[in-house]
Amino acid sequence: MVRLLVALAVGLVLAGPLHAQAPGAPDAGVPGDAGPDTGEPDATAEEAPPEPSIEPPRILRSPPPAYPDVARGSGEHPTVVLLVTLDDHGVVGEVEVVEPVGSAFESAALAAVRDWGFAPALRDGRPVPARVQVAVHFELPEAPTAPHPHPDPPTDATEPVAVADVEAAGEPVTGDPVDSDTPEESFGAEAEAEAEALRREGRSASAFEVERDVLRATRRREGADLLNSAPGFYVARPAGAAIAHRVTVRGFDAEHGQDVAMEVGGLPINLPSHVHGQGYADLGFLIPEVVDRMNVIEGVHDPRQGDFAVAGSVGFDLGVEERGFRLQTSYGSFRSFRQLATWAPEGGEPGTFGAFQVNRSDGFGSNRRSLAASAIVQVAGDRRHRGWRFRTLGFVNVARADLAGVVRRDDVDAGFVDFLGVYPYPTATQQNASNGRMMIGVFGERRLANGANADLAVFGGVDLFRTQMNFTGFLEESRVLEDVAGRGDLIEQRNRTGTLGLRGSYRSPVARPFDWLSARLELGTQARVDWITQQQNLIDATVRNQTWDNRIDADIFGVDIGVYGDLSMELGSRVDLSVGARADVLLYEVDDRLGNFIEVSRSDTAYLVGYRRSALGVAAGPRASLAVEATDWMTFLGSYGEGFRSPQARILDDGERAPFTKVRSADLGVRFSMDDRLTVTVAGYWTRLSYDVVFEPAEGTLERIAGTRRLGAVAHVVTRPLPWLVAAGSLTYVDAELLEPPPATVEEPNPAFERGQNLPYVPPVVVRLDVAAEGALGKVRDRELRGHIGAGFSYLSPRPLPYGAFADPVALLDASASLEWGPVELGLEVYNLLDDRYAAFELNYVSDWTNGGVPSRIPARHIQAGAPRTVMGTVGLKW
Amino acid sequence: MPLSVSGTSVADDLPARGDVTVTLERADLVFGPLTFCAGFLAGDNCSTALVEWTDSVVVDTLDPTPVSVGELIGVSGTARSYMYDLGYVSLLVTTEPLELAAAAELDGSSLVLEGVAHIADDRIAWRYSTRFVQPADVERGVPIVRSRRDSGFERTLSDGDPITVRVDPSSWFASASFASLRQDEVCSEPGTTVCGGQVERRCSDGDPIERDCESEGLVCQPDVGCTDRILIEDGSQIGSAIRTAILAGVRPSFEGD
Repeated sequence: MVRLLVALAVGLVLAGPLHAQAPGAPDAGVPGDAGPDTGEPDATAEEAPPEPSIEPPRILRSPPPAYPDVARGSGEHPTVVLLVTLDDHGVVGEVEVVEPVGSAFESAALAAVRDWGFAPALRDGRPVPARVQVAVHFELPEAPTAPHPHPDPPTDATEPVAVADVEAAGEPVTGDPVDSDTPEESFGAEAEAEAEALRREGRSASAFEVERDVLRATRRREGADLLNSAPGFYVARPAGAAIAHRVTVRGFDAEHGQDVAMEVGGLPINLPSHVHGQGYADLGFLIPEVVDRMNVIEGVHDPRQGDFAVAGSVGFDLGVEERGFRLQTSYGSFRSFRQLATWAPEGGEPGTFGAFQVNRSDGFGSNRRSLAASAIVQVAGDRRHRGWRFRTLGFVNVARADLAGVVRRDDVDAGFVDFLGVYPYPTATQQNASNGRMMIGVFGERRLANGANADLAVFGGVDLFRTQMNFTGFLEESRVLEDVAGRGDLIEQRNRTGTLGLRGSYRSPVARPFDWLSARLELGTQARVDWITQQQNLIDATVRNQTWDNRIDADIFGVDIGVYGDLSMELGSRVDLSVGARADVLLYEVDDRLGNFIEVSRSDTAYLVGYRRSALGVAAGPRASLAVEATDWMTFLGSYGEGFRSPQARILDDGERAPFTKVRSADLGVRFSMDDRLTVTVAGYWTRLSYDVVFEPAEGTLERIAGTRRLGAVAHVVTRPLPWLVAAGSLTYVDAELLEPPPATVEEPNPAFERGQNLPYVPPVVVRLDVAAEGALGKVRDRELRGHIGAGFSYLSPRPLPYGAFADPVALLDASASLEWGPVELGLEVYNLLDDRYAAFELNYVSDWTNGGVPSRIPARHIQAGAPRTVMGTVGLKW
Repeated sequence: MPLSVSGTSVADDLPARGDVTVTLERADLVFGPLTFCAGFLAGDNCSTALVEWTDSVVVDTLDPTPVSVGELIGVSGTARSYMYDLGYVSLLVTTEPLELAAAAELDGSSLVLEGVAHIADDRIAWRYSTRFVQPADVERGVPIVRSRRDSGFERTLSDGDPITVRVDPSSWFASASFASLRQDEVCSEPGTTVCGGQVERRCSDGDPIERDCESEGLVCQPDVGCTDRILIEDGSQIGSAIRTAILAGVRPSFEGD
């Protein structure tokens, strides 16, 4: 029989005595429960002879464990037997190791099983809590497998096991009280390792997987808010709906994504050479309920990290664990309304789902009305065709919002404009944004007989973006029209991007040239082409958006071909070393229709406006990581890598060869892992950029500055001390400084510079806490009542601003609570519970909002207000 | 940074063009707003300033006593240029300049001068007032007076360091031809008024009617006759010379402690 399942973790079997009893204690005593079963015949047993109909739990989702890196050299292939407690929703509660085999395997098995999905056991057709014994078998990773998402087919648990690897798990494990009335069932399930899981994970101390329970700790307003649970991250949407979130991470003001490579289900989100900022990444389409897990790599060390992975990269895995239909309606403050619908076909795996959401709101304060809708559909094939298995993911979204823009703090203090208000001029009240995006990708993976595997993906999409925003009031003059000025600095930006891309990789079989060495080579490519059209104009909102100046009018064609190699080696049983390299060839062809611009005052020109050019360059660098397992519970991790950020193509000159920001990144840390109950990571990091960019409000774009350096540390803790309790917290500190003076300009021929000068907009300290409790509260009318309560807290220390100013600190507490009773859900969410009046983003620059008063040329603090306390009530129905 | 303004003690007889001297009796100049820039070129190249004072004040340029007028606001640094207005601010949002309070104090003027021109043996009292407004078709939105690139101006601005703007009117009249104030005309057209020295001549078909202004302590102004002061017009040579001297001539000094 062909061993299909010879990956890192392969065979697993649900086996053994299944008993429909309350978890934890036999006398849990839930009123009205058919159980708990105590093993003692009850008084009515003789009067009720018919045995209850028992259906065991079914596996819905069983992503396999990763074969522990530290054990790769050992040649072991043990089976870990676990006793798993499931509630009547099939949610995994307490997990105990029944047969110890060593902590590394046990931890890997525990971590995997906690992520599994089960359909609950049924007694007389009603879901009941249960305990099941699970045998998780490990095989050495000789034959890799497949890509996202979890491709394990949802096998009916009562089907006969037809897997070569189940033998070790076949024996039922006893020792737990077993309901004598419960027929013992043997059943098993097949699970295949994902191709992704075959790569060595956790290469760096700054690589974090944020699991579903932490992501669900408290309700998130939007999918992008999930990022707040990653160490060092802070995201906010200060500009308003329809504009991408601003991301801050580990000393980077990543703007709208310029420093963080983002993928959703494998689809790349960042847009190169976007008019509103390099690497623009709008996660507005992301529906938080369908995010299954978040893989965060901070720093650069993995060869698969490409363009925009400067501060790091984030991957969102999508999946819906709970099958069936779900409708959820929310309504609350500021007439905010949200409708969510998800559909996950019964019997399908979590990777297959459809989801739709619509959000509308009057918005807090003034001029923040918004409407947005998005849909995400993913179909994960459960069959192989000629060795290939495919997954298809697509999403589409539209959004439009009025924007309040910025207000000056001095105007707020003087009472001229409200903190949550908007300036009373059309050039301010007509600020708005709209966007639309569609992407689709097909992901396939194939296993080869020799143990190698390959995957291939193609993707494409279109993105539309338009804003009219005014940051500076009334400072601009027309370059095109003589003596035209002061009509309001309402900047219109338009950007349209079409993208096609492919990626593929091949992972060789494991080679063992020596007893103490095993190695695997991965080769891959990631390529994309983008067609970009962009304009920037000044428009006058008082007269039907008359255009009174042109600033940008360009077409850009960009190609990025990245290739990488990655050699993973296990040296003995406790040392893992990965070395690799990546190179990207980037080509840009720019048709800058306003290049060589002719000033209106010049009449002696002998040429036409326009500047067409092309540039090609190569960005290459090494990547390496080292993991040393000092003990079963402590691993030292170190990594180094060199990455890049592509340029805004319009800044390139003809023939420019290497116009890329070079980033060098190193991490050193230690991870303590006490099974699944406690994981602690402490790491230090260093990042250096050859040059950086900062936001330039006058043009609403990014402007180049000198080289920068970040030095910092992060501590991250995740604990699950009780089956119903999860808590996660992180503290990130960074010293982010400018290494050289900013470039001299006519305005500032000798820019002020002090050694150690802090970078603007970067908070030195970021704190995040997530805590949640979830469990059964009792029974009402024979249906279990479940409750969930959670909270998330973010803190940002004061952020330095340009010209020596500092932004106020931010402290935000969100909380949510919900009840589930049968098909009915009720929820209450409170965002910014303490009603902190805060600036979601703060800037310091020159503006003139006097509209006829004496204009000031001194930089002033401008804020984009954050939302005050927002209360939402939710009613849901699922079936 | 505390900001003060002051005038200067000037001589009784300031040199003017030709063999003429001027004695100033009143010299009020509206000053402000004031901006210091990091770059060598003020104006359009100073969209972000180091420090500024956005108010205005009437400076008695004949009084050397510093008068505190407020604070310069901004950030520390090295200023290499400066620019200022004289009571009227050119705006981008409108072609009409913004009149500041100090200009209103002077009835809409940026400058009011009164004095006596000594022309030979004549003492001719005069008055000149004007407003300094950036022409709408020239650099709108920037202050009307800027430091010269070759001035070598450089000043370190630090928090708390006081600055006094000292205005010296001594050189304002060097190119002004006050001799033109003394007219010696005879009647040629009935119905006009001409001056023969300080004698008013009202012309008619017959003999002109004459009046000795000097004997009454007055001066004679063509078309007006005897008056207490000759009003110098903006478009006149004297007016233009004074305007040029103030806008493009010697700048005020910026003094520390």
